[in-house]
Amino acid sequence: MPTSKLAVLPYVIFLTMLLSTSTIAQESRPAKETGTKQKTESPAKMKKKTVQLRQQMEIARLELEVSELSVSLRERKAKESVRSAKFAVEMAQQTLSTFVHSEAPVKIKESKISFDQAKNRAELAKDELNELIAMYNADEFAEMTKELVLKRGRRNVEFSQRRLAVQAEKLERLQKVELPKKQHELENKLRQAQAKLADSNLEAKKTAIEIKIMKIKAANKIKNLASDLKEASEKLAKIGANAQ
Amino acid sequence: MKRCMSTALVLAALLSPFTWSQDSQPTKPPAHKSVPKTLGSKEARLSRDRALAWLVKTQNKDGSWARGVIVGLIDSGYSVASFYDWQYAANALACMALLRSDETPARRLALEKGLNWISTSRVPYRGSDWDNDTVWAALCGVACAIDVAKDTRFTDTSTMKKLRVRAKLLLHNLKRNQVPSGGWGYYDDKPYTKRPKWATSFATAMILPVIQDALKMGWMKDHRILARAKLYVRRCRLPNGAYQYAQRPIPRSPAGESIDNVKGSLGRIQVCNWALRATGEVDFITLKRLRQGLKQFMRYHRFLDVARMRPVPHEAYYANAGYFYFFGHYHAAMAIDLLPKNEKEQWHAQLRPHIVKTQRKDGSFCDFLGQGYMVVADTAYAILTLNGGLG
Repeated sequence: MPTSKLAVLPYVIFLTMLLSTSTIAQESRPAKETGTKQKTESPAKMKKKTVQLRQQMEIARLELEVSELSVSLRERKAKESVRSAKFAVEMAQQTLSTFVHSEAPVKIKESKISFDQAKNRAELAKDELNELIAMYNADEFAEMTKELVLKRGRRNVEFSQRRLAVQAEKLERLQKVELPKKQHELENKLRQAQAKLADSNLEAKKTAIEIKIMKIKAANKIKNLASDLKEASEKLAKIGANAQ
Repeated sequence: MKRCMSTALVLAALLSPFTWSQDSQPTKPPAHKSVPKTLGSKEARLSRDRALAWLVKTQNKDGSWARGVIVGLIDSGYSVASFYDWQYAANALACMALLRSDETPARRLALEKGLNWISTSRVPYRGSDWDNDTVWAALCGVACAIDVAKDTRFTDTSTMKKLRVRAKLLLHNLKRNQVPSGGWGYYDDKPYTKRPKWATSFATAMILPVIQDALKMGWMKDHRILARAKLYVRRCRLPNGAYQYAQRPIPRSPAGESIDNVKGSLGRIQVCNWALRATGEVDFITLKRLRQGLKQFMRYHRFLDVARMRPVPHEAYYANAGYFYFFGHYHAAMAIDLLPKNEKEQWHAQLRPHIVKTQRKDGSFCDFLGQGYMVVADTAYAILTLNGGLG
């Protein structure tokens, strides 16, 4: 919120300047338009007008200083916005590239290892069961133990085969769903960052033009005021001379 | 063993609720074969002779039994050297079984070949930082050598000379592996050290009488080794007659299904009682305590039965492991032989059915996994057990 307020500040100053310029113009212009009535203006009035014009000049100069400061502020912010957008694009590109070339292949490899381990475990469970069966075949007395141990062995085989099936599903889901989805998300993030960079570039160009306009207007205002002041000063001098 | 035990407990915790809730309902338990309460020496001799025939028949050409390499998936995870260590230990037990049985030409030949292999094959070594199963090779190898040395048939023979040399190497290995608290184990904990730090009551106990003999024969000089080992086993004994798995200054609670409960200690009680009494601790292991241990063995034997052939170490009730079955029965027979003469037969008669019922069609025995070295060791232990009371 404070950032957006700051961003608006230059525009507020700019508008204030425009308004004040038009006010001054409105105030000074009648003097020009009523040039035919100059002869009727009293010296006191002219003196007052001259003082007012001098004050307006002083304010206009100060306002110009303020606008110069706000200009540099806007320029800096526009540059920072572009730089930040460029950085975001670079990061998004790097994240996508890392994912495509390293992260995704490693995840697939890891998942394949888990799958191969599960496959190996299933084979081992079968081999172990066969070993246990062979062990008990030679023993006639340990029937109770044999039943318990062989049942456990058969369950081990069953669980290891079920675990293998789960690992196969996980590998397939990773390859066909999860990794493509994540890649799509990262590509989208890159596109968003690139769009933001383009916006920032346009915004910077727009700001540069607005600043140019603002400078011209401010300069014109001072120029007009100076002209009005000169005119008023000359009139006042003429009145003073006529009075002598 | 600790490693296996923790794995087993985790597996048991994971599997047992499923196993029992899912399996107990639909499966009708198979009918149990009837087992007589006692068995005479005639049946024992028949069973033993079948086992001996199996040993003779399955011996390799080089005099060894089984293979010193992994032969099954369910036994993986140990150091490569351990499989040779176990083969070596099993071969030593097989030689002891042949040595202590009635001699026949075939058995004698098998024994000579077996002893030659024990004496000339590679000296076992520690396989890895944590896996020190070479201790089993040393424990059984020295026991075998001492047995042979006490047998007059081998006095001053070349077999004995070679065996003595090997036994001294193995004794040196034992000396280097005696843990600071006095016992022997077969694993080490971090930080791994050249002299390991973890021992078990039963591994230590099984060698006590053997070391006593080695000291008497002059194969070993340092009597403090035996004193420290005996103290270790004594410290493992609990007031209820059970022995801790491994010495703990503050014993585990024997509540619930603790391995240190009597029902989890059945295989250890016999070997520890036998070892301590056989090495002169007669005031500590009185005949009363010896009998008490045997009574506990018979009373809670079902816990050994259900553990036998379980493929995961310590997965049965009270953390019993399958491989305690024949080890426990053999040492029960040894404990029985320390009783007065008139009591022995009644105990041997109670022990025999539990051996004979487990004999396989081919004459061999097994309590764990079914790997070659295990079948050889178990068959040897079964023969040694059945020899009890046969005269």
